[in-house]
Amino acid sequence: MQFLYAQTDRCLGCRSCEIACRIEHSEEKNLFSAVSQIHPPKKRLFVEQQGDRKEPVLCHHCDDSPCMAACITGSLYRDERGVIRRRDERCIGCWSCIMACPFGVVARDANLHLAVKCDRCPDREIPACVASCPTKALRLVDADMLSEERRQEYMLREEK
Amino acid sequence: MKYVIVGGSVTAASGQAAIRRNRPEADIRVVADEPVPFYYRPLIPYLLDGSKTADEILFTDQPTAGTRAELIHDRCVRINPKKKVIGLQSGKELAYDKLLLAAGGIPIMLLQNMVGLDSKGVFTLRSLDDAIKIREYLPTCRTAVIIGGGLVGIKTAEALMRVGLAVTVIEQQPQILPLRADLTVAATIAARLKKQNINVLTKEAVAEIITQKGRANGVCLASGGIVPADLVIMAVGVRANIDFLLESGIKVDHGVVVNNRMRTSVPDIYAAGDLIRFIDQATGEKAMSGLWSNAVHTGSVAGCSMSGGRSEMPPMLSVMNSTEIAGLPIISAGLLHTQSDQYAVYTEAQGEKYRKLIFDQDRLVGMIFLGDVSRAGVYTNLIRNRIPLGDRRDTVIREVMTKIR
Repeated sequence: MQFLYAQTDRCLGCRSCEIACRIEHSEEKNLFSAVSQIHPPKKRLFVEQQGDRKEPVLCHHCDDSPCMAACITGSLYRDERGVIRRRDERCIGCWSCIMACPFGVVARDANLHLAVKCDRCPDREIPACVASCPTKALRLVDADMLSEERRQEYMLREEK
Repeated sequence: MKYVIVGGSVTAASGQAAIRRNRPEADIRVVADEPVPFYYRPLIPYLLDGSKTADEILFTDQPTAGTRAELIHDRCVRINPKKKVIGLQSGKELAYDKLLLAAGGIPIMLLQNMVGLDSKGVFTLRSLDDAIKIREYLPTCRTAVIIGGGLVGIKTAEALMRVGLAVTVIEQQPQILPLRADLTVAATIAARLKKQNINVLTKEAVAEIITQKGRANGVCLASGGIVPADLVIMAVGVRANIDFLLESGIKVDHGVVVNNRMRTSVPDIYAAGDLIRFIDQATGEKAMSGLWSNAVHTGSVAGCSMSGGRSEMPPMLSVMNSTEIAGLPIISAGLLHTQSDQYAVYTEAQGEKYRKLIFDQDRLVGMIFLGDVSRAGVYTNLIRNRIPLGDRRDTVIREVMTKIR
């Protein structure tokens, strides 16, 4: 199982990920389209700042997913990658998922009348936000790989 | 082990899924009284104007498909916990080892003896079948009255307006959406509805339904006026569907009383969804709810407990709703109407957009977002989980109030 991991001490707050997200979800998948199409795409992750701390806040595709439990239309579902996606034709814009998400990362696209959330870029191997991050603060990681990395970090700290 | 689930909607579905996860080989039977597949009940108003077809509101993943569970279209009319059987309307009996009550709610018929209530053209809207019957009746109608200005009433009014009926919503309270909005929000929404030519009457009650040759053609208001109505829809709310439990010995107090593992007072009988009574996390009081997500969660907890798993009822609210009415999104949760000084209330308005937060000391206990609902889930979860905010309280207020877009 892979997931998006944000190593917050590496985040500069440059918002490259937000721009890349918008581009990836634009009609032509380029910057021009992202800013000039009639209904510019909404971003699906949010770089937040509190004091000196910066962090991309993003969808965790939770195991116990409150958005899916709140969906009254069958629009939200989990795909074969474990990613929570939207069936466009089912979404009625009731915003129950926005009401339920404790991370606040489902957005309302008023133009398309659709709830917008991270789909982890189904057309790409590496999500656009990850590919765009200049400091590798955002990574697509494997759960096992991450725990191994953490153990090694811990050992290195002990050595100091 | 024989599992029997009484109920044919989302609570039963999530109960079934939880049992199946723990017990892949379990013998599960689902007793559902509606002779249709599982469907998304909140969507039935969309059937009235054809913006959705019946097929488009069915569950994409039917809980009784294949070998998942056996679906029995029948109604449970009694429970015999001593013999561990349930009695069905068809006269049959069904034995259980573990029983899940997930029969939901039934519409309240106001004033059972109201004149004209049994005439043609008077409906409730709770089931797929109700929606289909209303849709079939529509060609003969030009005017409609909705009795009850709650969410179902308003959604129904909007659908009927879209098919071209002259619609009037009649609400007894001083405001529409009394359970999901405060006076300010209700007034904004009522104004929007009126702009769409939906007539909204508050502080008005229907005294009787006027009929002609057995068909409804208007309602007489308690205040004396008459509103024309070829179609009358009763949308005054639902109550727990618990009449069939009366002789079972299961403890009931408005709703079925359950512990935090969804067990009733009778061994091997569990209950979940709209028919249970629980403690509201915002008010600390006993409450009932018809909320979709509560049904999903409690159904899942019940299914898990019944099949040997460990799972507990999550903190729940009786008010936690999201919808869009007349183009305005609205999300509200927790306590919405406050009179006592115990609470600190903060509001911010920007045109029609409006936000309100209600605090009890450093805990958020209520909220309403109208127009801009972004990040609402962050705050509903603060309420639901009773998070003490300490000195972060001011940050929350600032975040919510300065970020209306």
